[in-house]
Amino acid sequence: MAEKASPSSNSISLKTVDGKIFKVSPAIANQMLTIQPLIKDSDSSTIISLPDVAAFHLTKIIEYLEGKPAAAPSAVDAFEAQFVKDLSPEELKGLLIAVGYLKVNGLVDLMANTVAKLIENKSVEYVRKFFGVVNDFTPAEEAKCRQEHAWAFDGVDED
Amino acid sequence: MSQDDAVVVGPSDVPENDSSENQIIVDSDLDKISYLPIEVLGHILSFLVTKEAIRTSVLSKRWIDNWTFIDNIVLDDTLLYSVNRSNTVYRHFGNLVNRVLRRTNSSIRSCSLNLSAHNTHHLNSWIPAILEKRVQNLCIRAASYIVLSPCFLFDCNSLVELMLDIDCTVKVPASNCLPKLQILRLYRITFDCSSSSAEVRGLVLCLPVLKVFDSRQCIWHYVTIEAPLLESFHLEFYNYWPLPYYVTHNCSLVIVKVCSSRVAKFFYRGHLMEGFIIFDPPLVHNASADLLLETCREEDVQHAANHARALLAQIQEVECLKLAFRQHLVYAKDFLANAPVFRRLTSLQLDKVTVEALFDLLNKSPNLNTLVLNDATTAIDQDLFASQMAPPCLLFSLKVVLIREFEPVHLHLAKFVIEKAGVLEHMAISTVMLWRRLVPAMQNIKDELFSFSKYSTNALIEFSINTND
Repeated sequence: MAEKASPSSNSISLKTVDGKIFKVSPAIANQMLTIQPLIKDSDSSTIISLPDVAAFHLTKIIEYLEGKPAAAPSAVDAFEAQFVKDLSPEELKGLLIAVGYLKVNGLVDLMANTVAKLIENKSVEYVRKFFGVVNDFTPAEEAKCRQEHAWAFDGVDED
Repeated sequence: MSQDDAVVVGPSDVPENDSSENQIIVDSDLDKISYLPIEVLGHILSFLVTKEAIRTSVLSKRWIDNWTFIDNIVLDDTLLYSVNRSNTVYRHFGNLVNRVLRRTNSSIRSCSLNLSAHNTHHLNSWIPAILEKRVQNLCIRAASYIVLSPCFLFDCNSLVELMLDIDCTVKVPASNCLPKLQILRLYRITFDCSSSSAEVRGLVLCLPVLKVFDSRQCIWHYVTIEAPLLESFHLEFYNYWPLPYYVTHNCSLVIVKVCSSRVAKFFYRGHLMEGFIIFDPPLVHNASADLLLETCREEDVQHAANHARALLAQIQEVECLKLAFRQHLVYAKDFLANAPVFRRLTSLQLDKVTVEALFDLLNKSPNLNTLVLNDATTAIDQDLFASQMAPPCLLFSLKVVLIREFEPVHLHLAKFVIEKAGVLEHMAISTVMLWRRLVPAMQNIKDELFSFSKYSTNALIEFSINTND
């Protein structure tokens, strides 16, 4: 879909980490704040590489930016609910990372909120595993850190 | 196209030379999320409750400080103390807040602090720091008294919602402007206007987009609220003793001047002895007002009644009025005889009024449609009704009458309505009996009530008896 999206000569080429090239209109590309400064200087031969974005994620990002209703907050809410509905936790996480690097207008909020809900009330071990965070604390250091914020660990769900 | 032509976008800490690239990709594959830009991480954590955001400091060394980038802080120090009550914990709470506030170049969208007596003293350093973060929503509740040092709280460009529930005294300049503020709630704040020009001219709050103003137990000498878009105005004020040192006896404690033509909801609770409210212009025609007026001493009654009349004159264009009197005010002589005419009033609810006051009000409300009486009146004698002319609204406009907390002494009142109300459609009487053994007596009264002949023959009359036990 995205490959044939914009036939105009000033479309922007984006290359994903898995080697796919997407041509998007400047209006869409400009909503990815991280690449904004590069768009001004680019011509039709420039290809902007996105090392942290896979084709699946870029497809979803373009789908969001092209499909989001312009007005009526209720329509936006419905569209956003539909947008995240069928994504697995793993896909949500990947998309959050992609969106976080590209700083996509509006989508950062949506993904941050959706992923935050997934780790709500979860234990440190669960969140570590879910995010793939490598624990580099020694057991003594971690115990000290937990001790410091002991009150914050009240009422955590069991895994 | 070769790799050299491509513009690479990614985290700044990913080296671009090929030799180390594989290694980095493996690492970031495992833990990509930790390498997101810190503002994005702060954004994600802002969607969690603050307590959970703080918990992420245990994930890995990289995460120790990530939570301090949240832009939405909700902290209640009593949560900490329920786990461990010691001085270390008190200091710990102060440190948590300080770590967020000392972040440079960051902004805070929303901040809500609930402080016990142990942390209230921090406010003099925290409030200026929070304001510097361009906060939009600020809510602070504090348990103990504090003298706030002069700050720019009432001269802040970023605030959209402000809620302060702090027993405090604060000195403010005479003129203040909050250009973006939409909701202002101030509880227990004493505005010290001594030794400034505010003592003479009063305090001016310029609030160009304010919609809700809610002040409870605040003390100000003279305040003008310039809020052209104000929709809801809530003022609650009870007598204070001892009075603050700078309140001299010849000056009024509270004079509130509201400059708005859009106020649709007006609430007032409290004593009227020291309070004056001036609406400029007067309340608009579709407004509703809910007043609870009190007097504490019997000798103040006539004085308070004068104030009450002055207040009613300000709101004579309302469509909906709730009026409740506590203690002695209800017995003020001719209290409402000189009240203004409420020509737009369609709905009136009264708590505790005398029959005289009721008739005075009905006579002043020619277009009344609905009348609600709660715990209506005391000592009503039959002769009084015999001598009363039916008010015009009873004959021509009153359609719905509700009498709650009905007692046998109200029978004459109900009879008067049933026999005189010309266009009555519905009358509902309800009563709560404390003792079941009294129910048969009330049944008799109910039967008597249904025997009265209705002037408006199609009116539906209901009578419900409920028991407490």
